[in-house]
Parts: sequence; structure tokens; C-alpha cells
Amino acid sequence: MSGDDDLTGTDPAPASPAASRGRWAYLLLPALGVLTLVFLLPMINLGAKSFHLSVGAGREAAEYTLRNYVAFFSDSLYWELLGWTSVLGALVTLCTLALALPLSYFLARTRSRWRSVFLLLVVAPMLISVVIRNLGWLPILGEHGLVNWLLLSAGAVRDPVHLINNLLGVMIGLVHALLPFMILTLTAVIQRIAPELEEASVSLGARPIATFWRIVLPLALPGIVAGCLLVFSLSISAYTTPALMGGGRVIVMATYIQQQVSTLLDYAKGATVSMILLVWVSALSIVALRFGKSGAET
Amino acid sequence: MTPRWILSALAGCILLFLVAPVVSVAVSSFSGGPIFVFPPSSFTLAWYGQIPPEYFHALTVSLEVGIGATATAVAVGVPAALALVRGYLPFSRALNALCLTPLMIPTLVIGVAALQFANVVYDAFKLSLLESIFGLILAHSAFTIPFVIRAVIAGQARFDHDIEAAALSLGATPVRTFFTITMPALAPSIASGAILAFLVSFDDVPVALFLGGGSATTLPVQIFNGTQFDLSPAILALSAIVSGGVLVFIAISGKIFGLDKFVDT
Amino acid sequence: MSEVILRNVTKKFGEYVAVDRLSLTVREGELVTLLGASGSGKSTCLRMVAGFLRPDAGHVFIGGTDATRLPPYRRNTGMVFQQYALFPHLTVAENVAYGLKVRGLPKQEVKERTLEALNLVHLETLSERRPAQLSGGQKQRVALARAVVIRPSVLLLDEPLSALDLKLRGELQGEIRRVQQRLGTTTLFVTHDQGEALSMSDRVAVMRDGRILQLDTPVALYQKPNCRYVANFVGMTNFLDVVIRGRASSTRSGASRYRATLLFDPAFELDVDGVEDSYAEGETCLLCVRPENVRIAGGALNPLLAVVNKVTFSGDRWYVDCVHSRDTSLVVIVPGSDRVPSTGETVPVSWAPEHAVLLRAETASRAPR
Repeated sequence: MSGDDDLTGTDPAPASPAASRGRWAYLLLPALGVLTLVFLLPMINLGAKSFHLSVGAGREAAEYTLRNYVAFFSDSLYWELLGWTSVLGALVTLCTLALALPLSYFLARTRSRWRSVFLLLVVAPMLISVVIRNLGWLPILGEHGLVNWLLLSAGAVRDPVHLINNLLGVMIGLVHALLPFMILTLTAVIQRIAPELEEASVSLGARPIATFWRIVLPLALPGIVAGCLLVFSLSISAYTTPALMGGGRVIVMATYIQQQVSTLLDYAKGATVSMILLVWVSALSIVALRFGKSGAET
Repeated sequence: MTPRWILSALAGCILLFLVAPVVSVAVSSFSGGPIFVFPPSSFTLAWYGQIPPEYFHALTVSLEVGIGATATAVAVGVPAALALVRGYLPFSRALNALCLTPLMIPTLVIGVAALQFANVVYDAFKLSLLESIFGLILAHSAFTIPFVIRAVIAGQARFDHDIEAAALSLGATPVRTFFTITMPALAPSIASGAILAFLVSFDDVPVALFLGGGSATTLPVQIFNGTQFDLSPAILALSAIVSGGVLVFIAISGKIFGLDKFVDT
Repeated sequence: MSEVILRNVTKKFGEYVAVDRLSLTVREGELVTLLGASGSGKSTCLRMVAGFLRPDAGHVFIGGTDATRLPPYRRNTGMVFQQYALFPHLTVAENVAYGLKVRGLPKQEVKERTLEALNLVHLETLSERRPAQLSGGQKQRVALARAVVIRPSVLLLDEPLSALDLKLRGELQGEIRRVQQRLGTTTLFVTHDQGEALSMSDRVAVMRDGRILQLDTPVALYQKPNCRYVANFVGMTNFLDVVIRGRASSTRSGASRYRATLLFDPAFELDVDGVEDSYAEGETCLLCVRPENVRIAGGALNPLLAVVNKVTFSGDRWYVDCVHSRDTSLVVIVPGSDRVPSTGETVPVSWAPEHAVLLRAETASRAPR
């Protein structure tokens, strides 16, 4: 008895009905036009401005110079700004990760019929303006707010704890604002890991925590890294939350830029710091994309 | 199994943390005593009647800008997404990147760029885009358009192209197929992209802060200023109303289009 | 008249030749199946008839008209897709009515013909449902109704049942055939499932590498394959290398009987029927005999002795693997209720000469001893 011949490959996909490329290009033009006008040109202008020196309110000298960048990188003040912003971002990212992991795992594995409600609770806060959410923290974190009331009533502290209008408040605000991003990323990543892998691990004798540590986390790692990079870049570029929750005392790159541009009208410096922030965030995005891709191969 | 129970409890606490500020806004808006004092000493609806008119004006500004930016996004974004997926255009990857890059740029940077560019435009054409609703619509279009394009591209990936072949084989011309079959099938994706774009525009602070102002102050900026300089519980009342509105809006959209469209990871 | 004729049709994708100078005539009212494995070009052919692909050479005629350059929406074809391709935003009735509305028919006629088509596939009660609420079998029936309601010149089906489970597939095979025969529509069917092809078709074209190897009725295809590939693709076949020794005696049915010996066991002689005119003495040929035609019994001139290697039970039958020598093995099918030999037993196997088919050796892959 002879075996089957080796037949590989599928029938080729049918070509779409012939459509001239020119016609399709016309459809793309309006979007390209508008985006060029409202995005590309402003960004190029911003970049250009960073290569000029400010001379008075909102005006720049005509010559090109690298002085702005040199000034930034040679002044320790700016390095501190960049450094502290990044440290804050790193802390926020770690806290977000720690909080997101349990909830994401739960959402990825639960078969409860309330799952879509839970997802709604995760997604909804993202869609309400961050000013409103920050506003909502005031009654909770303020001097006479909920947390202090609990702490004072329980006798845990004698004076009210300062949880707002300082760095701690900014951290809480940022963690809260960025948590949904981390949760959604991690939930998707964990869902891609077949539950049977965990069942196999448990059947071989590993306890649930061990299974999580040895099986789920390593497999989810690329996605976790992507999520962290996302949250990190969002937190170093955040403006509203540091402005509101910091009470004007917390200076990060975003608030610094706003000061330069709106208050001091030093457009060139504002542009320079913006470009540096942009490059920082872009680099992170590119790395995150790489990790996002390899996470999808699980 | 104990870990299961602990996991659920942990998850519950984190969910609580997520909704805490929103609930807090709602609860505090009924509080009668001095602002931000817990526990509330009395219950009152008074604040809801004391919302200053400038907030309502800001609300209309936000709605106008949101609708304008979303309409622009749908008008230019849907054809663009179709062209990017089906047109086999040269440099398609670069074009794709260009259309989706704005989503990766921090909103703050977009705001600064918009402000500085508006000045350039004013110097060159004597056209003022500052403190104008039109200017805000233009600036917001920078990210509403990519949201719609991304959503429609994703919708086409899920699309069963055979239904277009079926329509053609049944005698419908390509144009007729497009309007009677392709567009209705893409409608959910377009809607979800538009809804997301609208909400992001509605909630935006940095761009509206830099570019807007005066009579073109959006609601988030109004609240932002109010929180920093002139805090009154009436803001809480308005915030509660707006949050409630957004939640109802999302819930209805989720019911109609399916929640997974918003969870676009 | 609604014949479909493919004449010397060729289709290339870059360097890859998907369909190679293929010619085929589907007669009016006939159901012809294109049967082949993945990559054989069968779907490509179908899509060229439908108009979604344009041939690089050759012509496609539908109902006497040269349709080669016509777009799909001017060909009056009805197509049923593998994944159903039902319009998700329309109800069942609206799906079926779509082709009629496109043709601008009056409302009343659209309504009547839609109802007629739904009755034909027994789905009148589901007319207001949406595709998402239907089962796989129901969806396929809607797809069929939608394709036939427009009274197409030719009905095209692209592996329509591959996505369904076995039992459902059997039911729908019958449905499709019933509808096709009732309407008398010329039909081209594509599948890789040979059982499906044999049970439904008027004629079957076995395809490989873009060419038709054999076009015949199911019975002729099964009983008289014209090459090794067809013999192997359609059903199971035992292959034996034999050497022609000379003529035996003439029989009826125009075939001549030859005396031959096994290539690897010259001592064993057997009679074979050749289908072609002349086989030279000493020529090496391939003998094909189906397992169900091989008997474990003596009675023939000199039975072949084989040792039973493996016995597999399959409900209504046993598969008995036997080995005669290192190079010659056979599978015999024994009815399930019969006594079956045990492993290691030596049994005589034989078959009637008219049950075997003699094919020319295609490749000299092994040197004789």
C-alpha cells in the first residue's frame, strides 16, 4: 500500500477586484491633508523652535543654535528634572504593576457572568475626564477626608496625614489614572496563556502561587514589559494629575513645560524640553512595540 | 480553595480603588457641610441648583468641540482607513505610521505644538486660532482622526471579505456592494472609534488649556481652573452630572456594540 | 442553454502555475465536482468561473457567452462559500432577497420567490432571524437559497460543507443534490472529500497541480482509475509491480487478458486485464486492485500466499494487512461478520482479473532483482 503523496499549501487567495491605486489614494488625501496641517506641521515647528533662542515673550532669534539642548544637558537642574520625573514614573509603574496583576489574573480567568460588569468598571474611569477623578480624590485624601477620618478615629495617627498636594498625592493620582491601561494590557496577555498549562502544573504537584510564579509570569513577561513601558511613558508625560494633585509644589517635566510656555512665554525652552520628552517617550514606545510583538507569540 | 478566595477579595479591593474617586464625587456632591469634610454632616441637593453659568457654557463648548472633532475624524478617517487596508498603496507602512503616530505623542506635547503653531499661523496669516472653538476642533483632530482610523483598520481585520464576493456574485456592482454591504458591516467599528474619539476630546485638558481660553474654555479646563483657584461644591455637582452622563453613554454604547470594542488591546 | 466551458484556461500567481491549460465542459443540468487536494487549483478554477479571478490565458464560456472578461456581477452565477458569507446585518429573508433586489424586481415577486427559495431548503420559519442566531447547517442552507433564488446559469459551490461535522455534512450533501436536481441547475462543486464527490456528482474531475487527471462518472473513476494518483486519491488501492509475459486469452468487454508475473517474485503468475491495446512482453506495469475486491481464499489459478501482519477492526469491516515478500504487501477488506485470520497466519489471497486495473508504470523507481 503506498502512502499519500505529500501535498502542501492552500489554494491561493483570490485577488480583489481590480481597483486603480489612484482612486484609493484620493480617499487617503483628506486625512493626510488634515493631519499634516494639525499634527505634522505643528510638530515640525516645535522641533524647529527648539533650535532657536528666545528673545522676549514668545519670540525667537533667527539663527539656529544648539544652545538650548546644551544648556539642558549641562545644567544639573534639568538632569534633576528629568531624573525625578523618571523616578516618579518608575515608582508609579511598579505600584501599578503590583495592583494590576491580581485583578488582571482574576479577569483573565474568571468565568463569572459579572465579568463584563467588572471590565466596565475598569474601563469607565478612563473615559471620565481626569480632572473629575482628581477632584474626587480631594474628599478622600484631604485633611478632613475619608482616610484621615479613619486613621484619626482608629487612633493610628495623632495629626492628619498629608496625602494630597504633595508627591504622595501625585503618585496616588497617577497610579489610579494609569491602572486601567496596565490592567487591560495584562488581562489580554494572561488570556493568551492557555489555562491548560496551569492545570498541568497543578496536576504535577505545584501549588497555585508556585504555578503563577513559575508558569504564568514567565510566559506573560513580554506583555508585562510592554505594559510597564506604556505606563511609564504615560506617567512621565502626564500633566493634569501632577498639576492638580501636587498643589503646585510638584514639578515634573510636563508641569515645567507648561510653566515655560504659558507663564514665562519662553517658547524655545518649552519646545526644547518638549522635544526631549518626546524623544524619551518615542524610544520607550519603540522598545515596547518589540515586546508587544513577542508577547503575542505565546 | 483558599487562594481563589483571596484572589477575588484582592480583585474586589482594587476594583473599589478604581471606582473610589468617581463614587466620591457623586457622594460629596450631596454633602451639606464644609467642603471635603468627611463624614458629611448633612445631605442636600442645594449644590445642584448653584452651578455657575460659566460651567454650563463650558459644557456646550466641550460638546461643540467634541462633535466637531469627531465629525472631522469620521469624515476623513473612514476613507483613509479603507484606502490604507485595501488600496495596496506604495509606502503603506509609512502612511500607516503617519496616521497612527499622534496616538503615541503625549497630549501635552501636542498642546504645546498646537499653541506655538497657532502663533506662527497668526504671524503669517493674521488668522487667530487661539481661544477659538474652530482652533480647538482642529487641534483635537490631531488625535481623533487616528482613533477612528485605528478602529476602522481593526474592524477590517475582523471582516469576512467573502460577503463582498457574495454580493458581487449576486449581481451587485462594486459601488452598490460598498454601500449596502461593506459599510453596514463596518458600522460598529466606525461607531466605537468615533465614541472613543469623542470621549478623549471631551476629557482633554492639556490641549484645551494651551489653545483655548476665554469664551472657548472647555469643561475640563473650567473645572481644572476651578479646582485650583475657586473651589466650590457646585463643581462636584456638575462633575457628578457629567460623570453620570458619560457612564450612561458608555453603558448604552457597550450594549449596542459590544464591550470588547473598547478593550482594544 | 447553460453549459459552462473552460477552454485552455491558465492562471499564474507570479511564477507559480495554479491552473495549467485546463479544459472542461459542464453540460446543462449536470453536477460536476472538482476533486483534489489543497493546491490542486480547484478553487482557482471555480473563482475564474465566478469572475473573481481573470485567466491569464484561455476562455470561460457561460451559457454560450464568452464571460472571460465579464465582472462577477454580470455573470448570473450563484455562489455558495465555505464560510457561508451571509450578510450579518440582514435577516435570513433579506439575505435571500438581496440578489433579487439588486436585479430591480418588483416587491411582490421578490417576496414570492424568496418564500419559494426558503421553502425549498425548509427554512420558512426562520426568515426573520439573523445569521448570528443560526446553526452551521442552517446558515449553509440560507446560503444555498440565496444562490439559487436568482435562477443562476450556473451554481458554484466552494467546499461548502468543510466547516460542518460529519453527520450534518451527509445531510446537507443530500439537500444540495436534491435542490440541484429539482432545479436542473448546471453546477460546479469543489471539494477535497472524495466520498462527497462520489456520492453527489454526475461526473468528477480529479485535479492535481492545476490539471485534470481524469474526468469520469463516479463509478468509472472508482473502478477504472487512469493513473496511480487517481487510484490512490479515490479510495484505497493495492499496488503491485508486475511484468507482462504475454497474452493469456481474450475476454469480452474489449479488454485483453495477459499473463504476468510479479516483478519481485517471478515465480508467481497471474492473469490481468489490460485496458490499452498493447503491452509489450517484458514491460513493467502497475497492477491496481481495491482491498474490497481481494479475497482470502484459494480458488483462483494459483493464489498468492501472504502472512498476516496486522488486523484492524472498523465496525462493518476488518482491514487485514498482509505481506507476501519484502516488496509486496496488500490490504484486504473482510466483512465485519466474517471470520478473520489472526496475525502471523499464512493465507491465500486472490482476486478476479476483471477487478484489477493495469496501469503503465509511471516512474522506474526501483530496479528489479
